[in-house]
Amino acid sequence: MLKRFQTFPDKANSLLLALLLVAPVIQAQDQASEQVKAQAQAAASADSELVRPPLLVVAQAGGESAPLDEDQTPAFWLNKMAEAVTSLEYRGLVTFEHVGMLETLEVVRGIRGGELVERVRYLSGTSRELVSRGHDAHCRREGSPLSRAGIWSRSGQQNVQALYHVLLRGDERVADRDAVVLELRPKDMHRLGMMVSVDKETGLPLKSLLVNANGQILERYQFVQLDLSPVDDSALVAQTDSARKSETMAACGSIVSRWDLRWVPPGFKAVAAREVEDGEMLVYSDGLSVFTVFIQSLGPEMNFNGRAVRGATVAYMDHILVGEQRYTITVVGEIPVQTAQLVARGIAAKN
Amino acid sequence: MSHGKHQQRLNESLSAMMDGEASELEIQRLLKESSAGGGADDLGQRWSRYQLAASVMRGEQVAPVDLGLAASISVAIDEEPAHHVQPDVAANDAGARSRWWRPLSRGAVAATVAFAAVLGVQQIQQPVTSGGELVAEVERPVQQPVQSAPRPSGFYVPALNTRSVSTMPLVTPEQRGVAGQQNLPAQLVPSADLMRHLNRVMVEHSEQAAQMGSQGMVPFARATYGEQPPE
Repeated sequence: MLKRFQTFPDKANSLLLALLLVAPVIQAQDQASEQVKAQAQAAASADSELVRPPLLVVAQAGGESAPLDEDQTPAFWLNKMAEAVTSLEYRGLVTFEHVGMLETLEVVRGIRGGELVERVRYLSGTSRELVSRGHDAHCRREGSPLSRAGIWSRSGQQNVQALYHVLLRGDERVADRDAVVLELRPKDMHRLGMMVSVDKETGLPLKSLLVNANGQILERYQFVQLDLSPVDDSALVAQTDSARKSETMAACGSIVSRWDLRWVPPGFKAVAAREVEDGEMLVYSDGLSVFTVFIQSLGPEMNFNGRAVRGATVAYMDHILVGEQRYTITVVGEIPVQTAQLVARGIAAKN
Repeated sequence: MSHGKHQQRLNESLSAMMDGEASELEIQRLLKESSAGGGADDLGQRWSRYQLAASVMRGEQVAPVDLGLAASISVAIDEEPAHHVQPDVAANDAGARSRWWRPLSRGAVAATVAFAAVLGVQQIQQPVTSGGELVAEVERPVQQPVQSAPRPSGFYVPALNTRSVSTMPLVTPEQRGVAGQQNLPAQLVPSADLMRHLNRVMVEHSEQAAQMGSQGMVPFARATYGEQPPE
């Protein structure tokens, strides 16, 4: 299988080029001939009352490239996914695969008092659990920096469509549910691609893959079982003593940073900035991908320049000197490591 | 003349990338070019066109279809020289073979680093010779794929691998070496402080990404993944 695909790169490539050559020509010819026909008919019927047929012909010719039904457009599913992400309650079992490793998780998501409560518990490996409460509700309000960039907003979706080719890749069945497969293929080399299987009924992503430029899958998150009935309060409570609780109400702060990022990949906008231990963290998103820049004075033991990779997440570390003071730079995100490196190199102190 | 040659290499790298066969070296070269300005727009547009063309070829529907696109593609094709008419067949074969093996060896690398981190050494600067040709860089570990083989035509190939690996990030230092100097990969266990720092920034990043909401609960899974049980 692998062998077969690998041994015909040239053939595939020339086929692609050949198709490129042919397709536009055919289309152009079709349109041209339609127009000629239409003009001829218009001329022929100029004296009679038959003015409509030519218009019809033109309309049909144009209609071929337009989407037929709304639910066949990628934009429709993008929108549906965005709605589900904000409003849906569910609980389910998920497989999470990365670093060549398969883990299973229990995920629960409920809405209490207008706030999202989300719980994640690993069912394999060491016991790990996280309960997140109160996130986003106020971050998503109009006017907040976050609301401008997220996929759920109109401008956010436009941004995503400007930066990724959004393609429908057919149907699939995941967790006993029918899904539509949506591919988000980056238009440049500074972000990862995504393959999302969107639940037809609710718009919930049932499976999502992160794919690098070589087509390798870096991470796979996939439901095995999904329950969409309202979530009990008890299901939102931590099941283990060691569970970590995350209630960062002030998390979408927007402090004025003292740092200047002279280069970020096209389409990425600052969506949050806040203080952390010994420094700042600045969050950037293109509506889909997110990366975070940490600039901290951490002391000499953090004198490290290089990268760390875990699954689809990379952390690129470097440093910057401002006068005598040394700051550690860490760029973290699900982005190509080279992109993280470029971001890190472009950081400077504001004057 | 060297500019044309350079451009041709870029085009070949781009084609390889489209076929999912670009080496790290080629990706580096493309990235460098695309961020260097100048020919960047041209390269970016070509990348975008190739992606679109591949989709059209598979009969997929493409989001906002630009009606001017067909025309621009045909014009661009006229301008582009034919690809992959490489006289050097032997080199081509060798290239194909090495591409063929790389995913396997990457998987093998991942397998050996269960608990220690592998440190590959590389040059951060990609020295450019006077002719504009890039000097070869050292291969090093990158984001590890879930499956070790490139995805052939889609996502229906779940080459599952349940090998047990540490939750520790794979760490690779950079060395701003002298141009042309060959550094050998070294192995080293990163300090506990460094690991703590990396883990913490990954957690903080993931929780922030979770608030963005665009990826659902996936970032929470990432955030919790590397957590260590309390001691």
